Amino acid sequence: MEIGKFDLGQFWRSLEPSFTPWWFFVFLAFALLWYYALPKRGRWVILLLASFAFCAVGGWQTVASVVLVACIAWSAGLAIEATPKKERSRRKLLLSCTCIVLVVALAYVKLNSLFKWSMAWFVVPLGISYYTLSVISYLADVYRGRQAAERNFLHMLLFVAWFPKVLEGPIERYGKLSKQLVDGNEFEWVSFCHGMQLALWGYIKKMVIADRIAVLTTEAFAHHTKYGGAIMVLSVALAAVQLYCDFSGCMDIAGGVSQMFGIRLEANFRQPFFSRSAAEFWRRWHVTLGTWFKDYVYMPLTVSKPVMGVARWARKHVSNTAPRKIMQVMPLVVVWLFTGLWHGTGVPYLVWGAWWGVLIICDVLFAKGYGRVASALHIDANSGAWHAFQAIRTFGLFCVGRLITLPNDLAVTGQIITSIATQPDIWQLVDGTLLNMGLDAVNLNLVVICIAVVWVVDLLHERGVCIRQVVGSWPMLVRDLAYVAAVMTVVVFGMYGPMYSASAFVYMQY
Amino acid sequence: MEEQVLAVLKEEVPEVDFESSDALVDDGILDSFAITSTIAALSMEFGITIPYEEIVEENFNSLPALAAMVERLMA
Repeated sequence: MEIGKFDLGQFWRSLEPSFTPWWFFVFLAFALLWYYALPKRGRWVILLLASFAFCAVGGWQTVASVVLVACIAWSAGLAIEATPKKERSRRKLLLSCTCIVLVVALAYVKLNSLFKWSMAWFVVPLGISYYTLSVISYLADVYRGRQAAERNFLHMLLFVAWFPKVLEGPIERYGKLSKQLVDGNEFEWVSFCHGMQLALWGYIKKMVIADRIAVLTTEAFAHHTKYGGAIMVLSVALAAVQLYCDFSGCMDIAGGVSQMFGIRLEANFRQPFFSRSAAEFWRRWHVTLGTWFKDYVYMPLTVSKPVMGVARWARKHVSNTAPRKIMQVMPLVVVWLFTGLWHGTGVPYLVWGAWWGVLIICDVLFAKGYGRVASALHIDANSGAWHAFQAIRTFGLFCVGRLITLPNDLAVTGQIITSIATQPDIWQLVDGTLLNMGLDAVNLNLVVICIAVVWVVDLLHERGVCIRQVVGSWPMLVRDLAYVAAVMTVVVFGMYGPMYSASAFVYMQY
Repeated sequence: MEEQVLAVLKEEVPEVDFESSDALVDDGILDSFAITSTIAALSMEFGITIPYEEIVEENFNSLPALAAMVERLMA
Protein backbone atom coordinates (compact mmCIF):
# COMPACT_ATOMS: atom_id res chain seq x y z
CA MET A 1 0.00 0.00 0.00
CA GLU A 2 1.34 3.42 -0.97
CA ILE A 3 0.50 6.55 1.03
CA GLY A 4 1.70 9.43 -1.13
CA LYS A 5 5.30 8.49 -1.84
CA PHE A 6 5.55 6.40 1.31
CA ASP A 7 5.38 2.66 0.61
CA LEU A 8 4.04 1.05 3.79
CA GLY A 9 4.72 -2.49 2.53
CA GLN A 10 8.33 -1.71 1.76
CA PHE A 11 8.71 0.05 5.10
CA TRP A 12 7.27 -2.97 6.93
CA ARG A 13 9.58 -5.35 5.08
CA SER A 14 12.57 -3.18 5.97
CA LEU A 15 11.92 -3.64 9.69
CA GLU A 16 13.97 -6.28 11.47
CA PRO A 17 12.66 -8.12 14.51
CA SER A 18 15.13 -7.04 17.15
CA PHE A 19 15.59 -4.94 20.28
CA THR A 20 18.09 -2.52 18.74
CA PRO A 21 16.44 -0.69 15.77
CA TRP A 22 14.86 2.73 16.34
CA TRP A 23 11.35 1.47 15.65
CA PHE A 24 11.56 -0.87 18.65
CA PHE A 25 11.79 2.06 21.07
CA VAL A 26 8.73 3.75 19.51
CA PHE A 27 6.87 0.42 19.61
CA LEU A 28 7.87 -0.15 23.26
CA ALA A 29 6.78 3.35 24.31
CA PHE A 30 3.35 2.84 22.69
CA ALA A 31 2.94 -0.61 24.23
CA LEU A 32 3.82 0.69 27.71
CA LEU A 33 1.50 3.69 27.40
CA TRP A 34 -1.44 1.56 26.33
CA TYR A 35 -0.67 -1.14 28.89
CA TYR A 36 -0.77 1.19 31.87
CA ALA A 37 -3.59 3.31 30.43
CA LEU A 38 -6.04 0.41 30.24
CA PRO A 39 -7.86 -1.10 33.24
CA LYS A 40 -5.90 -3.96 34.86
CA ARG A 41 -8.27 -6.64 33.62
CA GLY A 42 -7.72 -5.90 29.95
CA ARG A 43 -4.00 -5.22 29.98
CA TRP A 44 -3.06 -8.67 28.76
CA VAL A 45 -4.81 -7.87 25.46
CA ILE A 46 -2.25 -5.10 24.85
CA LEU A 47 0.55 -7.56 25.55
CA LEU A 48 -0.96 -9.99 23.06
CA LEU A 49 -1.40 -7.33 20.37
CA ALA A 50 2.13 -6.00 20.94
CA SER A 51 3.57 -9.52 20.79
CA PHE A 52 1.70 -10.22 17.58
CA ALA A 53 2.95 -6.99 16.02
CA PHE A 54 6.53 -7.89 17.01
CA CYS A 55 6.17 -11.41 15.60
CA ALA A 56 4.63 -10.00 12.42
CA VAL A 57 7.83 -8.00 11.84
CA GLY A 58 9.58 -11.40 11.76
CA GLY A 59 7.33 -12.42 8.84
CA TRP A 60 4.07 -14.27 8.45
CA GLN A 61 5.93 -17.54 8.99
CA THR A 62 6.64 -16.50 12.58
CA VAL A 63 3.02 -15.55 13.21
CA ALA A 64 1.81 -18.83 11.69
CA SER A 65 4.34 -20.83 13.71
CA VAL A 66 3.41 -19.13 17.00
CA VAL A 67 -0.31 -19.70 16.41
CA LEU A 68 0.22 -23.32 15.38
CA VAL A 69 2.45 -24.17 18.35
CA ALA A 70 0.03 -22.45 20.76
CA CYS A 71 -2.87 -24.34 19.18
CA ILE A 72 -1.12 -27.71 19.55
CA ALA A 73 -0.11 -26.98 23.18
CA TRP A 74 -3.56 -25.70 24.15
CA SER A 75 -5.51 -28.63 22.66
CA ALA A 76 -3.05 -31.32 23.80
CA GLY A 77 -2.95 -29.87 27.34
CA LEU A 78 -6.74 -30.06 27.57
CA ALA A 79 -6.75 -33.61 26.15
CA ILE A 80 -4.12 -34.84 28.63
CA GLU A 81 -5.97 -33.28 31.56
CA ALA A 82 -9.28 -34.72 30.42
CA THR A 83 -7.83 -38.25 30.39
CA PRO A 84 -8.21 -39.88 33.84
CA LYS A 85 -4.95 -40.37 35.74
CA LYS A 86 -5.49 -44.10 36.01
CA GLU A 87 -5.30 -44.33 32.21
CA ARG A 88 -1.59 -43.66 32.47
CA SER A 89 -0.57 -45.20 29.18
CA ARG A 90 -3.15 -43.14 27.25
CA ARG A 91 -1.95 -39.94 28.91
CA LYS A 92 1.62 -40.91 28.15
CA LEU A 93 0.73 -41.63 24.51
CA LEU A 94 -0.93 -38.21 24.17
CA LEU A 95 2.10 -36.49 25.67
CA SER A 96 4.61 -38.48 23.62
CA CYS A 97 2.77 -37.99 20.30
CA THR A 98 2.43 -34.24 20.84
CA CYS A 99 6.08 -33.86 21.84
CA ILE A 100 7.16 -35.90 18.80
CA VAL A 101 5.08 -33.66 16.50
CA LEU A 102 6.63 -30.53 18.04
CA VAL A 103 10.19 -31.88 17.94
CA VAL A 104 9.82 -33.19 14.37
CA ALA A 105 8.46 -29.79 13.27
CA LEU A 106 11.41 -28.08 14.95
CA ALA A 107 13.90 -30.51 13.40
CA TYR A 108 12.28 -30.04 9.96
CA VAL A 109 12.52 -26.26 10.24
CA LYS A 110 16.16 -26.43 11.31
CA LEU A 111 17.19 -28.97 8.66
CA ASN A 112 15.26 -26.99 6.07
CA SER A 113 17.30 -23.89 6.75
CA LEU A 114 20.48 -25.97 6.67
CA PHE A 115 19.86 -27.91 3.46
CA LYS A 116 17.60 -25.36 1.71
CA TRP A 117 15.10 -28.08 0.84
CA SER A 118 12.07 -25.94 0.19
CA MET A 119 10.88 -22.89 -1.64
CA ALA A 120 12.31 -19.39 -1.49
CA TRP A 121 9.57 -18.16 0.85
CA PHE A 122 10.77 -20.42 3.60
CA VAL A 123 12.44 -18.72 6.56
CA VAL A 124 13.05 -20.08 10.05
CA PRO A 125 10.26 -18.73 12.27
CA LEU A 126 11.62 -16.40 14.90
CA GLY A 127 12.37 -18.03 18.26
CA ILE A 128 10.86 -21.42 17.38
CA SER A 129 13.64 -23.28 19.24
CA TYR A 130 12.75 -21.44 22.43
CA TYR A 131 8.96 -21.51 22.55
CA THR A 132 8.82 -25.11 21.33
CA LEU A 133 10.76 -26.16 24.44
CA SER A 134 8.54 -23.93 26.62
CA VAL A 135 5.35 -25.63 25.45
CA ILE A 136 6.88 -29.10 25.81
CA SER A 137 7.60 -28.25 29.47
CA TYR A 138 3.99 -27.05 29.83
CA LEU A 139 2.64 -30.33 28.45
CA ALA A 140 4.95 -32.44 30.64
CA ASP A 141 3.83 -30.45 33.70
CA VAL A 142 0.16 -30.97 32.80
CA TYR A 143 0.91 -34.70 32.41
CA ARG A 144 2.61 -34.81 35.83
CA GLY A 145 -0.32 -32.95 37.39
CA ARG A 146 1.87 -29.98 38.32
CA GLN A 147 0.12 -27.56 35.99
CA ALA A 148 -3.59 -27.09 35.25
CA ALA A 149 -4.37 -27.11 31.53
CA GLU A 150 -5.04 -23.65 30.12
CA ARG A 151 -8.63 -23.18 29.02
CA ASN A 152 -8.27 -19.82 27.30
CA PHE A 153 -6.51 -20.20 23.94
CA LEU A 154 -5.55 -16.52 23.84
CA HIS A 155 -3.74 -16.83 27.17
CA MET A 156 -1.73 -19.72 25.73
CA LEU A 157 -1.03 -17.67 22.62
CA LEU A 158 0.28 -14.80 24.76
CA PHE A 159 2.57 -17.17 26.70
CA VAL A 160 4.08 -18.47 23.44
CA ALA A 161 4.36 -15.09 21.71
CA TRP A 162 5.37 -12.73 24.60
CA PHE A 163 7.66 -10.44 22.63
CA PRO A 164 10.59 -9.84 25.02
CA LYS A 165 11.30 -13.58 25.16
CA VAL A 166 10.41 -14.56 21.61
CA LEU A 167 13.83 -13.75 20.11
CA GLU A 168 16.18 -15.80 22.30
CA GLY A 169 14.18 -16.94 25.31
CA PRO A 170 14.54 -17.40 28.26
CA ILE A 171 12.78 -20.76 28.03
CA GLU A 172 9.99 -19.95 30.46
CA ARG A 173 7.73 -22.28 32.47
CA TYR A 174 4.01 -21.74 32.03
CA GLY A 175 3.22 -21.69 35.75
CA LYS A 176 5.66 -18.89 36.47
CA LEU A 177 5.00 -16.61 33.51
CA SER A 178 1.39 -16.95 32.42
CA LYS A 179 -0.19 -15.60 35.61
CA GLN A 180 2.00 -12.49 35.48
CA LEU A 181 1.05 -11.91 31.85
CA VAL A 182 -2.68 -12.38 32.31
CA ASP A 183 -3.30 -10.79 35.72
CA GLY A 184 -2.12 -7.31 34.78
CA ASN A 185 0.32 -5.39 36.93
CA GLU A 186 0.15 -2.07 38.75
CA PHE A 187 2.70 0.52 37.70
CA GLU A 188 5.60 0.47 40.19
CA TRP A 189 8.17 3.19 39.69
CA VAL A 190 11.06 1.34 41.38
CA SER A 191 10.47 -1.87 39.43
CA PHE A 192 10.06 0.15 36.21
CA CYS A 193 13.42 1.90 36.84
CA HIS A 194 15.10 -1.42 37.61
CA GLY A 195 13.77 -2.74 34.31
CA MET A 196 15.14 0.28 32.44
CA GLN A 197 18.53 -0.11 34.13
CA LEU A 198 18.73 -3.78 33.28
CA ALA A 199 17.78 -3.13 29.65
CA LEU A 200 20.32 -0.29 29.44
CA TRP A 201 23.08 -2.55 30.76
CA GLY A 202 22.02 -5.11 28.14
CA TYR A 203 22.31 -2.49 25.37
CA ILE A 204 25.80 -1.55 26.58
CA LYS A 205 26.87 -5.22 26.57
CA LYS A 206 25.39 -5.81 23.14
CA MET A 207 26.06 -2.60 21.22
CA VAL A 208 29.19 -1.23 22.88
CA ILE A 209 31.06 -4.45 23.68
CA ALA A 210 29.79 -7.46 21.67
CA ASP A 211 29.32 -5.60 18.39
CA ARG A 212 32.70 -3.88 18.78
CA ILE A 213 34.53 -7.17 19.44
CA ALA A 214 32.64 -8.68 16.47
CA VAL A 215 34.58 -6.42 14.08
CA LEU A 216 37.87 -8.00 15.13
CA THR A 217 36.68 -11.61 15.44
CA THR A 218 34.86 -11.50 12.10
CA GLU A 219 38.07 -10.36 10.40
CA ALA A 220 40.18 -12.95 12.26
CA PHE A 221 38.00 -15.92 11.35
CA ALA A 222 37.27 -14.74 7.80
CA HIS A 223 41.01 -14.43 7.01
CA HIS A 224 42.50 -16.80 9.57
CA THR A 225 45.37 -17.80 7.28
CA LYS A 226 46.68 -14.22 7.43
CA TYR A 227 47.15 -14.35 11.18
CA GLY A 228 49.46 -16.24 13.51
CA GLY A 229 48.54 -18.37 16.50
CA ALA A 230 48.80 -15.57 19.07
CA ILE A 231 46.24 -13.40 17.27
CA MET A 232 43.96 -16.41 16.82
CA VAL A 233 44.17 -17.25 20.55
CA LEU A 234 43.25 -13.66 21.36
CA SER A 235 40.44 -13.77 18.79
CA VAL A 236 38.99 -17.00 20.21
CA ALA A 237 39.08 -15.57 23.75
CA LEU A 238 37.43 -12.36 22.51
CA ALA A 239 34.85 -14.39 20.59
CA ALA A 240 33.94 -16.13 23.88
CA VAL A 241 33.50 -12.75 25.62
CA GLN A 242 31.58 -11.48 22.58
CA LEU A 243 29.12 -14.38 22.78
CA TYR A 244 28.63 -13.80 26.50
CA CYS A 245 28.02 -10.06 26.07
CA ASP A 246 25.76 -10.65 23.06
CA PHE A 247 23.58 -13.35 24.59
CA SER A 248 23.50 -12.10 28.18
CA GLY A 249 23.02 -8.58 26.81
CA CYS A 250 19.96 -9.76 24.89
CA MET A 251 18.68 -11.51 28.04
CA ASP A 252 19.17 -8.32 30.07
CA ILE A 253 17.24 -6.32 27.46
CA ALA A 254 14.48 -8.95 27.40
CA GLY A 255 14.32 -9.14 31.21
CA GLY A 256 14.47 -5.36 31.57
CA VAL A 257 11.79 -4.66 28.95
CA SER A 258 9.55 -7.32 30.49
CA GLN A 259 10.08 -5.86 33.97
CA MET A 260 8.94 -2.46 32.68
CA PHE A 261 5.55 -4.15 32.26
CA GLY A 262 5.90 -5.61 35.78
CA ILE A 263 6.62 -9.10 34.41
CA ARG A 264 9.69 -10.99 35.67
CA LEU A 265 11.51 -13.38 33.36
CA GLU A 266 13.82 -16.14 34.55
CA ALA A 267 17.53 -15.28 34.80
CA ASN A 268 19.52 -17.02 32.08
CA PHE A 269 23.04 -16.21 33.31
CA ARG A 270 24.66 -16.41 36.73
CA GLN A 271 28.22 -15.17 36.19
CA PRO A 272 29.28 -18.25 34.15
CA PHE A 273 32.95 -17.25 33.89
CA PHE A 274 33.35 -17.76 37.64
CA SER A 275 32.53 -21.49 37.26
CA ARG A 276 34.97 -24.00 38.70
CA SER A 277 34.02 -26.88 36.38
CA ALA A 278 32.27 -27.70 33.11
CA ALA A 279 29.21 -28.99 35.00
CA GLU A 280 29.00 -25.79 37.06
CA PHE A 281 29.46 -23.69 33.91
CA TRP A 282 26.31 -25.19 32.43
CA ARG A 283 24.40 -24.47 35.62
CA ARG A 284 25.32 -20.78 35.12
CA TRP A 285 25.27 -20.37 31.31
CA HIS A 286 21.91 -20.45 29.50
CA VAL A 287 20.35 -21.57 32.77
CA THR A 288 16.83 -22.08 31.44
CA LEU A 289 18.05 -24.41 28.68
CA GLY A 290 20.05 -26.42 31.22
CA THR A 291 17.15 -26.77 33.66
CA TRP A 292 14.82 -27.63 30.77
CA PHE A 293 17.09 -30.48 29.66
CA LYS A 294 17.49 -31.59 33.28
CA ASP A 295 13.76 -31.70 34.02
CA TYR A 296 12.38 -32.93 30.72
CA VAL A 297 15.13 -35.09 29.18
CA TYR A 298 17.71 -36.07 31.82
CA MET A 299 15.28 -37.04 34.60
CA PRO A 300 12.80 -39.02 32.42
CA LEU A 301 15.75 -40.89 30.89
CA THR A 302 17.25 -41.62 34.31
CA VAL A 303 14.16 -43.62 35.30
CA SER A 304 13.44 -44.99 31.83
CA LYS A 305 13.22 -48.75 31.31
CA PRO A 306 16.42 -49.13 29.25
CA VAL A 307 18.57 -47.17 31.73
CA MET A 308 17.04 -48.93 34.75
CA GLY A 309 17.52 -52.28 33.01
CA VAL A 310 21.22 -51.65 32.40
CA ALA A 311 21.63 -50.33 35.98
CA ARG A 312 20.03 -53.47 37.48
CA TRP A 313 22.18 -55.70 35.28
CA ALA A 314 25.30 -53.78 36.34
CA ARG A 315 24.47 -54.14 40.03
CA LYS A 316 24.20 -57.89 39.60
CA HIS A 317 27.26 -58.36 37.39
CA VAL A 318 29.59 -55.39 38.02
CA SER A 319 29.37 -53.70 41.43
CA ASN A 320 27.05 -52.01 43.88
CA THR A 321 28.21 -48.56 42.82
CA ALA A 322 27.81 -49.17 39.07
CA PRO A 323 24.04 -48.38 38.86
CA ARG A 324 24.62 -44.87 40.20
CA LYS A 325 27.28 -44.12 37.58
CA ILE A 326 25.21 -45.67 34.80
CA MET A 327 22.08 -43.73 35.75
CA GLN A 328 24.09 -40.50 35.78
CA VAL A 329 26.12 -41.04 32.62
CA MET A 330 23.74 -42.72 30.14
CA PRO A 331 21.18 -39.85 30.16
CA LEU A 332 24.03 -37.32 29.88
CA VAL A 333 25.11 -38.84 26.56
CA VAL A 334 21.61 -38.28 25.14
CA VAL A 335 21.25 -34.83 26.72
CA TRP A 336 24.48 -33.57 25.15
CA LEU A 337 23.69 -35.12 21.79
CA PHE A 338 20.40 -33.16 21.81
CA THR A 339 22.00 -30.02 23.23
CA GLY A 340 24.45 -30.08 20.32
CA LEU A 341 21.65 -30.61 17.79
CA TRP A 342 19.54 -27.86 19.37
CA HIS A 343 22.35 -25.38 18.80
CA GLY A 344 22.89 -26.41 15.18
CA THR A 345 22.45 -29.29 12.81
CA GLY A 346 25.92 -29.49 11.29
CA VAL A 347 28.74 -31.85 12.28
CA PRO A 348 30.58 -29.10 14.26
CA TYR A 349 27.62 -28.90 16.62
CA LEU A 350 27.63 -32.66 17.17
CA VAL A 351 31.35 -32.45 17.99
CA TRP A 352 30.64 -29.46 20.24
CA GLY A 353 27.95 -31.47 22.09
CA ALA A 354 30.36 -34.40 22.43
CA TRP A 355 33.06 -32.04 23.76
CA TRP A 356 30.86 -30.74 26.58
CA GLY A 357 29.32 -34.17 27.19
CA VAL A 358 32.74 -35.79 27.69
CA LEU A 359 33.88 -32.96 30.01
CA ILE A 360 30.78 -33.21 32.18
CA ILE A 361 30.83 -37.01 32.25
CA CYS A 362 34.49 -36.81 33.39
CA ASP A 363 33.41 -34.38 36.13
CA VAL A 364 30.79 -36.89 37.28
CA LEU A 365 32.99 -39.99 37.08
CA PHE A 366 36.22 -38.60 38.44
CA ALA A 367 35.07 -35.92 40.92
CA LYS A 368 36.43 -37.92 43.88
CA GLY A 369 39.68 -38.61 42.04
CA TYR A 370 40.16 -34.90 41.26
CA GLY A 371 39.62 -34.14 44.96
CA ARG A 372 42.18 -36.77 46.03
CA VAL A 373 44.78 -35.43 43.56
CA ALA A 374 44.19 -31.86 44.83
CA SER A 375 44.64 -32.89 48.47
CA ALA A 376 47.73 -34.99 47.61
CA LEU A 377 49.21 -31.84 46.08
CA HIS A 378 48.27 -29.93 49.28
CA ILE A 379 45.98 -27.60 47.33
CA ASP A 380 43.53 -25.67 49.46
CA ALA A 381 40.30 -26.20 47.52
CA ASN A 382 38.77 -23.09 49.10
CA SER A 383 41.62 -20.72 48.30
CA GLY A 384 41.04 -17.79 45.97
CA ALA A 385 44.04 -18.74 43.83
CA TRP A 386 42.69 -22.27 43.24
CA HIS A 387 39.26 -20.86 42.40
CA ALA A 388 40.86 -18.40 39.96
CA PHE A 389 42.82 -21.24 38.33
CA GLN A 390 39.65 -23.34 38.00
CA ALA A 391 37.71 -20.40 36.54
CA ILE A 392 40.46 -19.71 33.96
CA ARG A 393 40.57 -23.42 33.08
CA THR A 394 36.78 -23.46 32.58
CA PHE A 395 37.04 -20.35 30.40
CA GLY A 396 39.70 -22.17 28.35
CA LEU A 397 37.37 -25.14 27.89
CA PHE A 398 34.61 -22.78 26.78
CA CYS A 399 36.99 -21.18 24.27
CA VAL A 400 37.75 -24.60 22.77
CA GLY A 401 34.01 -25.19 22.40
CA ARG A 402 33.66 -21.80 20.70
CA LEU A 403 36.51 -22.67 18.33
CA ILE A 404 34.69 -25.86 17.31
CA THR A 405 31.50 -24.10 16.20
CA LEU A 406 32.52 -20.58 15.23
CA PRO A 407 34.16 -21.34 11.84
CA ASN A 408 31.27 -23.81 11.15
CA ASP A 409 33.80 -26.06 9.40
CA LEU A 410 35.92 -28.55 11.31
CA ALA A 411 38.68 -28.34 8.70
CA VAL A 412 39.05 -24.61 9.43
CA THR A 413 38.97 -25.33 13.18
CA GLY A 414 41.80 -27.82 12.60
CA GLN A 415 43.80 -25.26 10.59
CA ILE A 416 43.43 -22.67 13.37
CA ILE A 417 44.50 -25.18 16.05
CA THR A 418 47.53 -26.13 13.92
CA SER A 419 48.41 -22.46 13.47
CA ILE A 420 48.14 -21.86 17.23
CA ALA A 421 50.40 -24.85 17.94
CA THR A 422 53.02 -24.34 15.23
CA GLN A 423 53.02 -20.71 14.16
CA PRO A 424 52.39 -18.42 17.13
CA ASP A 425 53.83 -15.22 15.52
CA ILE A 426 53.61 -13.43 18.83
CA TRP A 427 55.06 -10.20 17.39
CA GLN A 428 51.81 -9.71 15.40
CA LEU A 429 50.30 -8.56 18.68
CA VAL A 430 52.60 -5.54 18.77
CA ASP A 431 53.78 -4.90 15.19
CA GLY A 432 50.57 -3.19 14.08
CA THR A 433 48.82 -6.28 12.65
CA LEU A 434 46.32 -6.22 15.49
CA LEU A 435 45.50 -2.58 14.76
CA ASN A 436 44.70 -3.41 11.13
CA MET A 437 41.89 -5.81 11.95
CA GLY A 438 39.12 -3.21 11.98
CA LEU A 439 39.62 -1.73 15.45
CA ASP A 440 42.11 1.07 16.05
CA ALA A 441 44.00 1.63 19.32
CA VAL A 442 41.19 3.72 20.84
CA ASN A 443 38.61 1.03 20.12
CA LEU A 444 40.86 -1.75 21.38
CA ASN A 445 41.45 0.18 24.60
CA LEU A 446 37.71 0.70 24.90
CA VAL A 447 37.19 -3.06 24.53
CA VAL A 448 39.70 -3.74 27.32
CA ILE A 449 38.05 -1.18 29.64
CA CYS A 450 34.57 -2.52 28.89
CA ILE A 451 35.61 -6.13 29.54
CA ALA A 452 37.09 -5.00 32.87
CA VAL A 453 33.80 -3.26 33.74
CA VAL A 454 31.76 -6.38 32.85
CA TRP A 455 34.12 -8.48 35.00
CA VAL A 456 33.76 -6.12 37.99
CA VAL A 457 29.96 -6.06 37.64
CA ASP A 458 29.90 -9.88 37.52
CA LEU A 459 32.23 -10.06 40.51
CA LEU A 460 29.89 -7.79 42.50
CA HIS A 461 26.91 -9.94 41.49
CA GLU A 462 28.90 -13.02 42.52
CA ARG A 463 29.36 -11.45 45.93
CA GLY A 464 25.64 -10.82 46.24
CA VAL A 465 25.67 -7.08 45.55
CA CYS A 466 22.54 -5.90 43.69
CA ILE A 467 23.90 -3.02 41.63
CA ARG A 468 20.43 -1.83 40.63
CA GLN A 469 19.51 -1.39 44.29
CA VAL A 470 22.78 0.42 44.94
CA VAL A 471 22.13 2.79 42.02
CA GLY A 472 18.54 3.20 43.22
CA SER A 473 19.78 4.33 46.64
CA TRP A 474 21.91 7.16 45.19
CA PRO A 475 20.66 10.79 45.44
CA MET A 476 18.31 11.61 42.57
CA LEU A 477 20.70 13.96 40.78
CA VAL A 478 23.60 11.49 40.85
CA ARG A 479 21.32 8.64 39.80
CA ASP A 480 19.88 10.61 36.88
CA LEU A 481 23.37 11.61 35.77
CA ALA A 482 24.34 7.92 35.85
CA TYR A 483 21.33 7.08 33.64
CA VAL A 484 22.23 9.84 31.18
CA ALA A 485 25.86 8.64 31.14
CA ALA A 486 24.70 5.06 30.43
CA VAL A 487 22.43 6.21 27.57
CA MET A 488 25.20 8.38 26.17
CA THR A 489 27.59 5.42 26.35
CA VAL A 490 25.27 3.45 24.07
CA VAL A 491 24.67 6.40 21.74
CA VAL A 492 28.32 7.48 21.49
CA PHE A 493 30.14 4.17 21.73
CA GLY A 494 27.48 1.83 20.29
CA MET A 495 28.45 0.24 16.99
CA TYR A 496 26.52 1.43 13.95
CA GLY A 497 27.24 1.61 10.26
CA PRO A 498 27.47 -0.60 7.22
CA MET A 499 30.04 -3.04 8.61
CA TYR A 500 27.96 -4.14 11.55
CA SER A 501 24.53 -5.57 12.03
CA ALA A 502 23.61 -4.30 15.46
CA SER A 503 20.20 -5.88 15.16
CA ALA A 504 21.27 -9.52 14.86
CA PHE A 505 21.82 -11.40 18.10
CA VAL A 506 24.01 -14.50 17.87
CA TYR A 507 21.55 -16.82 19.63
CA MET A 508 18.69 -15.80 17.29
CA GLN A 509 20.02 -18.34 14.77
CA TYR A 510 19.23 -21.17 17.20
CA MET B 1 10.74 -46.94 56.91
CA GLU B 2 12.43 -43.60 57.52
CA GLU B 3 15.32 -45.33 59.35
CA GLN B 4 15.74 -47.89 56.58
CA VAL B 5 15.78 -45.20 53.91
CA LEU B 6 18.30 -43.16 55.91
CA ALA B 7 20.57 -46.17 56.36
CA VAL B 8 20.55 -46.86 52.61
CA LEU B 9 21.18 -43.21 51.71
CA LYS B 10 24.00 -42.83 54.26
CA GLU B 11 25.69 -45.81 52.67
CA GLU B 12 25.06 -44.99 49.00
CA VAL B 13 24.96 -41.17 48.93
CA PRO B 14 27.31 -40.23 51.79
CA GLU B 15 28.09 -36.78 50.38
CA VAL B 16 24.57 -35.53 51.26
CA ASP B 17 23.28 -35.01 54.80
CA PHE B 18 19.63 -35.93 54.31
CA GLU B 19 18.69 -34.84 57.84
CA SER B 20 20.09 -31.34 57.43
CA SER B 21 17.10 -29.70 55.73
CA ASP B 22 13.42 -29.96 54.88
CA ALA B 23 14.10 -28.27 51.56
CA LEU B 24 16.95 -30.36 50.17
CA VAL B 25 16.10 -29.58 46.54
CA ASP B 26 14.98 -25.99 47.05
CA ASP B 27 18.12 -25.22 49.08
CA GLY B 28 20.34 -26.70 46.37
CA ILE B 29 21.69 -29.48 48.62
CA LEU B 30 20.34 -32.11 46.24
CA ASP B 31 21.43 -31.22 42.69
CA SER B 32 20.47 -33.27 39.64
CA PHE B 33 23.39 -35.70 40.06
CA ALA B 34 22.60 -36.20 43.77
CA ILE B 35 18.92 -36.80 42.89
CA THR B 36 20.04 -39.44 40.37
CA SER B 37 22.24 -41.07 43.04
CA THR B 38 19.27 -41.07 45.42
CA ILE B 39 16.99 -42.61 42.81
CA ALA B 40 19.63 -45.26 42.01
CA ALA B 41 20.09 -46.15 45.70
CA LEU B 42 16.38 -46.37 46.50
CA SER B 43 15.48 -48.25 43.29
CA MET B 44 18.20 -50.86 43.77
CA GLU B 45 17.84 -51.37 47.53
CA PHE B 46 14.05 -51.44 47.75
CA GLY B 47 13.40 -52.99 44.31
CA ILE B 48 11.09 -50.18 43.28
CA THR B 49 10.68 -48.23 40.05
CA ILE B 50 10.34 -44.50 40.59
CA PRO B 51 8.20 -43.15 37.74
CA TYR B 52 8.92 -39.77 36.16
CA GLU B 53 5.76 -38.29 37.69
CA GLU B 54 7.20 -38.89 41.17
CA ILE B 55 10.38 -36.90 40.50
CA VAL B 56 9.11 -33.65 41.99
CA GLU B 57 10.61 -31.39 44.66
CA GLU B 58 8.00 -32.38 47.25
CA ASN B 59 9.15 -36.02 47.16
CA PHE B 60 12.87 -35.22 47.45
CA ASN B 61 12.90 -32.22 49.77
CA SER B 62 13.20 -34.18 53.03
CA LEU B 63 13.89 -37.59 54.48
CA PRO B 64 10.25 -38.15 55.59
CA ALA B 65 9.06 -37.27 52.06
CA LEU B 66 11.52 -39.72 50.53
CA ALA B 67 10.45 -42.45 52.97
CA ALA B 68 6.77 -41.77 52.22
CA MET B 69 7.43 -42.07 48.49
CA VAL B 70 9.29 -45.39 48.91
CA GLU B 71 6.47 -46.74 51.08
CA ARG B 72 3.86 -45.67 48.53
CA LEU B 73 5.75 -47.26 45.63
CA MET B 74 6.33 -50.49 47.53
CA ALA B 75 2.62 -50.88 48.32
